Amino acid sequence: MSDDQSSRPQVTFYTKAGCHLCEDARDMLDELAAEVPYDLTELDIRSDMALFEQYRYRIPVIIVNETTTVEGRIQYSDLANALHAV
Amino acid sequence: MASQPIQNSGSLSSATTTQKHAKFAALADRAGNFMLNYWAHVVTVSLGCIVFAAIAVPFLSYLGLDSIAKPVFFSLHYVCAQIPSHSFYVFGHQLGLCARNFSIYTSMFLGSLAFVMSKKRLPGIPWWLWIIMMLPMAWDGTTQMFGLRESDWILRLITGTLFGLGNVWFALPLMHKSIIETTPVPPQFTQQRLPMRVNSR
Repeated sequence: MSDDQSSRPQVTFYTKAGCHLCEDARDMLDELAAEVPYDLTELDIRSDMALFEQYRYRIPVIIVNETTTVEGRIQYSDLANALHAV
Repeated sequence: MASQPIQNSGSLSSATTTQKHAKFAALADRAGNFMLNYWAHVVTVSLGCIVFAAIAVPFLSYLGLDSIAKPVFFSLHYVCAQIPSHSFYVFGHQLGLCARNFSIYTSMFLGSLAFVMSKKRLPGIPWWLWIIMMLPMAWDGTTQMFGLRESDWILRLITGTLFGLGNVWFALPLMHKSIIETTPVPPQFTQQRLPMRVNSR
């Protein structure tokens, strides 16, 4: 893995099918990918009971580098700031 | 002689304009009368539509009709922040309104429905009781906004319901009273004066 790839932000996106806010957040992530390249891990919370219990009333949840969390009704500026801050 | 047809067309067009104005005035008059008679029904139907849309969102999503559910959900964002952790869920899908707004709009809808069903005879509440009914939500919302405490769905439901009921219970009877006091009595209901008969001998 090159240095450039290892320095990319690691983004974890917790989502669920039929979640309207998640679709909105996904569009924002796609838009921001042109500005800030990142590695995305997308997880459907229904795949794990523990994840489901933790995030069922919070999704969409986006965690950047396991430190910054943006969730719920995500604003484009908040997500951009979280990615640019890395 | 040559100017006569021009003059005729001018008077014709002005007659058409006057006719259009008269039609528009009649239409505006009818719309005004309709609103005077059915304003409470319009309020109730509007509130009912918001509540119905909010409830319909999770059912539509559950049935796989996301192409309808999604625009309805996002259109409700104009009246609600739709924070997921503050919302109710049906079949695992978020309602179109958060718990507080859902209770506000539902109680306002039910309150206005009761007002309409009572034929607008439901007496209003005094202003001080209206303030008292708003205070719990003001306290709940403000303390949460400043991070002093975190509210829960029961408090959001109770305080929102009190706020919504207080609003309609205060505002609708007051609006009805002011409309009754300012609406002129239609001519057919005014007492007609009969000509005096004078007997002369």
